[in-house]
Amino acid sequence: MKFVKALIFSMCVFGTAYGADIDNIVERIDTLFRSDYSEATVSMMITTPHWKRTLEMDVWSRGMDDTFITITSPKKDRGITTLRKGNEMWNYFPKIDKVIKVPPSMMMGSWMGSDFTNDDLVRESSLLDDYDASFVEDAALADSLIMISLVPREGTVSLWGEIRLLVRREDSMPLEQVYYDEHGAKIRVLTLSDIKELGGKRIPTVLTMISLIKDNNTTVIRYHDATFGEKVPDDTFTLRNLRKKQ
Amino acid sequence: MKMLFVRFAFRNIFRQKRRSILTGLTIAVGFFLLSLSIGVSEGSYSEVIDIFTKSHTGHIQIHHSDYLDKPNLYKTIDEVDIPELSFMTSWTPRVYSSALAFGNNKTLGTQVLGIDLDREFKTTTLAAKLSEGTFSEEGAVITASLARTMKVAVGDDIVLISQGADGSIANDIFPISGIVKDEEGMMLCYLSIATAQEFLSLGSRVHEIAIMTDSYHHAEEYATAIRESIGDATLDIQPWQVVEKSFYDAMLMDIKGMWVSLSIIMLIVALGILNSVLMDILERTREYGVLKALGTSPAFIFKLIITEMFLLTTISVIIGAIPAFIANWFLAEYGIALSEPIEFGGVMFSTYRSAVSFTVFAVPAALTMATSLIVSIFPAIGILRKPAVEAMRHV
Repeated sequence: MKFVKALIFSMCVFGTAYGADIDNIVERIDTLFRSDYSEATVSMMITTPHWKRTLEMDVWSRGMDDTFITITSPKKDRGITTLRKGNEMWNYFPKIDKVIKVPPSMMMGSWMGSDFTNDDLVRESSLLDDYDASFVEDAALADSLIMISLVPREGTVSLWGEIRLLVRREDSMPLEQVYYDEHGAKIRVLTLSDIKELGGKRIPTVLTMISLIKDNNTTVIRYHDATFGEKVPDDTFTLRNLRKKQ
Repeated sequence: MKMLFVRFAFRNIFRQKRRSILTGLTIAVGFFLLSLSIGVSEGSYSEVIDIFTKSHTGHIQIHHSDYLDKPNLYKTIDEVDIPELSFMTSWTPRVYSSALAFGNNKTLGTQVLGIDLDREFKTTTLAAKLSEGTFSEEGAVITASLARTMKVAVGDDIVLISQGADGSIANDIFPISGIVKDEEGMMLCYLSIATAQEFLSLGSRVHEIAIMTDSYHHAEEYATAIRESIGDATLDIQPWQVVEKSFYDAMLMDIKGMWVSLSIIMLIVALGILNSVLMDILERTREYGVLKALGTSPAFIFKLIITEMFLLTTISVIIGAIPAFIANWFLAEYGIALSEPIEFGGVMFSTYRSAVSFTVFAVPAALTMATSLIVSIFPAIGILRKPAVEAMRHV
């Protein structure tokens, strides 16, 4: 009897430790590209059967909720800016001088024709808050890797039925994220590579998103430069700045 | 001797001139009525097709292979040498896209059409639809419905947002340079083709080439000729019947309906002919009885009756064809103006026109001939069955 109690007790302790561990990993992934403040220069190369183009942009973020993006190249799209504040998002088009609000229903829509959704781009989703995480046992998996399954919590509006993360055990570095729909079909795969020290943080600097349903459309995001933790003026994340920034 | 019944038949026709003239007149008038109604309906349809194809579609269109089924920004015609074929009168390239339009705080979904101004005006009647302002290389021309819904006028700006062919978000602002008349609810925005191609990042690619030929009747053969001349399997070259399938199908349905009403006219004409022919033959029951009593073979009498009716009908049809031709020609040339224009498939047409064609004469001729012959068979048989004595007593 004592033995059973001890077993249950140890399981509980182990379970909690296990749980905290998984939360830590997920939180680390959530904040990988963020800090209290962050600033980055990024390029995005989109390849589809019909066209291929590369966007250059500057990205600022504050905490988990606020993001400001301005496109610097190509010339045609220069000055297009995106602001996300909390749950709201706007795009600004300088040529027509219009701020267009992205309705919540469009948050899962494509951003600038890429394979990233509006939501991906501005927040990378809060995996910790919106999903239930659990480890996936896979015998085929190398010892140095961990597989985590994320299932949307009840009440979370998500396009995905499940997200599977492949994480490096030694430093909890994410290597791959596979997105499934609610029927369990693979929709897209995000590969994170070229792990480098950038702005005082080791991050994967190349993110490759391959859509498995749209003729293998591919979007590659490359971090050229980044700083983390350096304060960004608060008025960056305002609608006024959206119009002003060129 | 062989052709004796023919001579008899002729003599019979001219013996009782008044009777023959009355019967012949019924047939001639019947023929005239039929010919005119077929002519007018044919003429009206060709008028509708003519206005319709000239309005926008053209007689033949070229697209990327499956553009017609599933239009898409990327299904473009990249490069094509339009051949110069003798029947082609003009052609014009076009670019299409849907876009979100802003103006005066209103947002609406619209269709953007890039047109080659010079070529378009030579090919279609678009220029004539302009009600205000002008077409220009930089400005946008919108339909009256769009202008009304957005509460904008010539001189205002219209903002368009769409998807560019290079994946970018096409967005630009255009001054409204003109307004065109349209059917109710058509939200169209015309740009010059160069402006539209730049707006949509299409380069020199186009979605459609509309071709005008010397006659829409031959669109199918012409399309085949162009197909052979270009010889590119990735292109879909189709006559207006295929391009505007719903319009064409609706028209075919309508034509079916027309034949129902035409058959009622035919029935009335047939009854008229039946009446006269029946009288013509029954009146002479006594005479045939005498012929029979004199030993004329029943077959001879039968042939005689049928030949007489055949000759009479032929003469009447020829006589009826003269006014029918004049009336149809006159209506084809000048038409009758309608007080209220009628809309069909989005085309307003305001004059009733007739047509002069083979059908307009052949169908009524065949019909009157068949009617008069069929209706004469029965009284002829009736007489043959009647014993000569009884027939002779007939008054």
